[in-house]
This record gives sequence, C-alpha cells and structure tokens, in this order.
Amino acid sequence: MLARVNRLALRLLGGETSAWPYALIRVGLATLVLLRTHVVDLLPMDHHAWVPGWLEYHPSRDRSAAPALHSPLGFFPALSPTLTAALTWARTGLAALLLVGVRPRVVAGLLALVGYSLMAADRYRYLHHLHLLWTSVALLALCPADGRLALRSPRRELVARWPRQLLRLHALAAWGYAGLAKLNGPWLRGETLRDLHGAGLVDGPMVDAAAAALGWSGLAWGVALVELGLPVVLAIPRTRLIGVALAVLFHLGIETSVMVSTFGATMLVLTVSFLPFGSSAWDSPETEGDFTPRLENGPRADDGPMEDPTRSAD
Amino acid sequence: MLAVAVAILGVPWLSPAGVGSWSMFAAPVEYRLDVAAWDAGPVPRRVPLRSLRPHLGFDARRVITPADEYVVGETNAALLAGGLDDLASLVCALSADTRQVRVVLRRRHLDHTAPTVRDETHACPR
Repeated sequence: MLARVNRLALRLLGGETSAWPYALIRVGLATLVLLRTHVVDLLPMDHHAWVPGWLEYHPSRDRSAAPALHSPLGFFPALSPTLTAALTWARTGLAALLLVGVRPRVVAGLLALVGYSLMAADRYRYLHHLHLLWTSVALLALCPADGRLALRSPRRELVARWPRQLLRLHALAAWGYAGLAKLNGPWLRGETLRDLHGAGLVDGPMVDAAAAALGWSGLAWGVALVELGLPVVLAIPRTRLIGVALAVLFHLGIETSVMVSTFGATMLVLTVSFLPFGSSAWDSPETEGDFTPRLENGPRADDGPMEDPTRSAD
Repeated sequence: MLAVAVAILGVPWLSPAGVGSWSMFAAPVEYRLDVAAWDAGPVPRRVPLRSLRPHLGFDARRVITPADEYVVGETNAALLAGGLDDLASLVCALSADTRQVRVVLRRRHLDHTAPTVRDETHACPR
C-alpha cells in the first residue's frame, strides 16, 4: 500500500521540467501586481463594475477620521496608516524585483506576505482576484529560479517539477470548485444567470448571443460543464493543449461579460503551467511504469527515458 | 509539498462561500444593513450608514455605505457578517452617550426570496 502511494506521489510530483514556465509565470504575476498597485500608476484598471476607479488602500485615499473602523480578517492585527503606507510601497518594490528576477523565491514569499497582510488588515479589502493573485505569488516562492528572463544568466534547462504541479493544482482547484458550486438548481435552471444579467452584472454581446442561442439554462449548464471539464481535460496529457485553448476562450468570454478585474488574467498566467515546455516525460503515457526518481541537482540514478529527446513534453 | 497541496484543495472546501472560496457568482445575494443606537432614552435612533463614511477605509466605504438599501455582493455580505461587532464598536466610539448598538444584516438571493437575518446587539463599554 505504502509502496503504491509512494509510486503515485512520484508519478504526480517527481521528475524535472523546463525552467521556462516558472520564468513566464513569475514575469506574468509580477506584471499583474505592478499594474494593480497604486504607487506605480502604469495602467488605470477598474475594479468590479460597481466600484469604478482604483482599488484598495492607496495611502492618500484610505485615510479615515478618528475613531476609525478597525475590522481585520480573523486574528490579524489592524495596521497603522504609516505601516500600511510603508507596506504599499514595499509591495510595489518587491513586485519590481520579482519582475526582473532578483532573488525571486525570497522576493515572492515577501511579496505574498505583504500583499496578504495589507488585505487581511482590513476585511473589506478582501477580493477573490486578490486572494488568487497572492496565493499564486506565494506558490512562486516554492518554484525554482534558474535565471531565465532575469538579470542573471540561465543556469539549468531542467528544474524540479513538483512546484509546477502545485501551480497546476492551484488552477485546477479554482476551476473545479467554481464548477462544483454551480451544481445547484437555480444556477442550472438559468435563474441565477438571468438575475445577474438583470442586475447588470453579466452583460455584453457574447453572453447575449449565447443566451439567445442556448437559453439561460443552456448557457448556465455550459459554464458549469466547462469549469468542471477543464480540470479533467488539462490533467490528461493528450488533451492538455485542447484544455489550454478552452481555458483561454472561456476566460476571454468571461472578460467580455463580467467585471472580474485581474482574475482572468491571473488564471491565464497560471495556464502557462500547462503548456508543453521542457522534456520531462513523466506526464507522458508511454513512460508509465518508469518511476525512477531524478535528483534535483544531479543526474538520474539510471540512464532512462528522461533523457530521451523523442519523449513527449509535459 | 503535501501540506501546500492539501491547503490548495482544503481551504475552498472548508469555505464554500466568502473568503477563500472559488464559488464565482454561483449563488449571488443582495445585502442590507440597518444600524440603531440607544442613547439615554428607551427609543433607539437610526444610524445612517453614510454618517460612518469618514471613519471607514476606502474599501469599507464601498461595502458598507450603500447598504442602507439592498445591494448585490455575495462576498461583501460574508465579510460584513463577520465584522458586525467591529461596526458596533465604531458606533459606540462615535458618541459617549451611546449605551447599546443593534446591527441587523439581511441577506437574500437576487430573486427576492425571504432574507436570512443576522441580528446582533452590542453593549457599549462605559
């Protein structure tokens, strides 16, 4: 039993993979953080439709008169305005360092900590797209950094694969749970979508055309099936590219119909983890049965299919 | 590694709606907030939410201030539900005469079904 669990864990998490997805995801997430910060006004981004303008805690806009409301999330302490301002600046600085790849693992960890701290210090700053963004940045702290797309030179072609699997799991969980939550009567009957449309929260030519063609119930079933289907299609190596295309189309459709801020962009950045980079063959069906672990910084214990250039990529 | 994987799967499982969830518009709700304060007399006074605005941060303003009437926001409603005590403490702190604050949060689905009510009364420290 233990041996089987061990083999399964090795199959799911073992081996090496290309360093490219890590570098691309790092650059993508750092760019998103920079675009969302107030200190660097690179691109004005509207928050949800009902909150036009800047998002949270710009030091000059978040000032409140005494006595101020302090309502942190959980047991997190409320932060003083001075510390909040300092953390806001630190967040931007850390995002810039992450973008250029300066000590990316440490910087990603600090950035996630600062981002979550700013959010948790006031419960009303919580937003799903920020939670997704900071969780993704936190996972970057576990990812190997070989210098690709960074100030230093690349050192290794292949790096540990398990952080990539965690990034994939993170994306699959978001899609899967979103789909599971929609397995309820009002959603599947199309009532929720129709109500959201009536409230002006779901709108646009794509959703109008889809509702006209499929009906609200048909569209609601379609959304739920895509969200539930993406984890399956993306988990299977043979259908992974189809899954990537489906994910891109799905999020483009959402972007034209719902204001979800950076949620779609973050999901698309995470989708990079499913692209066929590198030469790890462990996701490939033809290598099933080859579970010989490979050392992260050294050669494998035996010369096996990992080195075989004809093997398919993950 | 295993702990991270468990957290990725476990947090949204334990929190199917609100903070940490990925439910995404699956069950949107409207919410409304009523605040009443008792000063010296037995009759409470209604506290207009816009009167709290100067004392709120940027994001608390967008969540709390418009909630005199029903507004859409599943996550906002969940956040408010967890912070009613803090809001009551703020109302207490705004006037030394206030003895007691009652905060009522109503949540209903967009189809205007009967709301679920969270009703909390908070005694102000003297």
